Amino acid sequence: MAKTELKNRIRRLRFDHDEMTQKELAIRVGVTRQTIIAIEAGKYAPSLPLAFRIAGVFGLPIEDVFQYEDEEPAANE
Amino acid sequence: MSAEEKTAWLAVGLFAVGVVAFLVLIPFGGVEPALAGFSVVGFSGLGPLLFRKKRDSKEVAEDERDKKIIREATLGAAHSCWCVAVMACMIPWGIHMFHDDMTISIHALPRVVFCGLFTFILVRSVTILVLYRRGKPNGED
Repeated sequence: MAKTELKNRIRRLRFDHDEMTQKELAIRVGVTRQTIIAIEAGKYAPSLPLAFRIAGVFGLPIEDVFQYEDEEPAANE
Repeated sequence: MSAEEKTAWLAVGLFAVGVVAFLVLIPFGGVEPALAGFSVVGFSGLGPLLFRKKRDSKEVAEDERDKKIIREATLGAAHSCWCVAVMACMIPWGIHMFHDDMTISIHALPRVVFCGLFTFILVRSVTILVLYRRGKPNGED
């Protein structure tokens, strides 16, 4: 099974949006600050609705905030 | 730290106190009465009352990650509890199956129940703490 990773630019985007704090973002998307910390560190993959809400806060499409990376190429290509 | 994490710490702490109480009570009356030392674990039920979120807080008390952690911890604890219950029933039977005159005390039954209950509380609490810790690299802003 291929190893996969969900990367994101949330930290960069927060600083670009008037240095928004993790707490502010957490309140705006309706989660705890600990969840934002875990998402930023790539240790928790958010659900699709939450990912869309986070992207919506920054006014960007979801693919500009989250990037899905496959570490191993598919075998039959 | 979430309310669930604090409750888990309380349960683990009380379990440690229970073990110490059990060891301290053994010289005074033997192993059987000393098991009462574990009764302090029952106070872990106060966790949700002690660590409630303040009502005026804008932050949510629980989100999808908390629910996922609680679900995984509860499932793991239920499986462990089931394993303990099966072992508690099958091991004595396996040892004594060839002795037709063997009987077990009726007092063994509540011990199996409490053993399963303590396993459930401990495994659930430890799993919650481990899963929360995994998503917390440094906690800075």
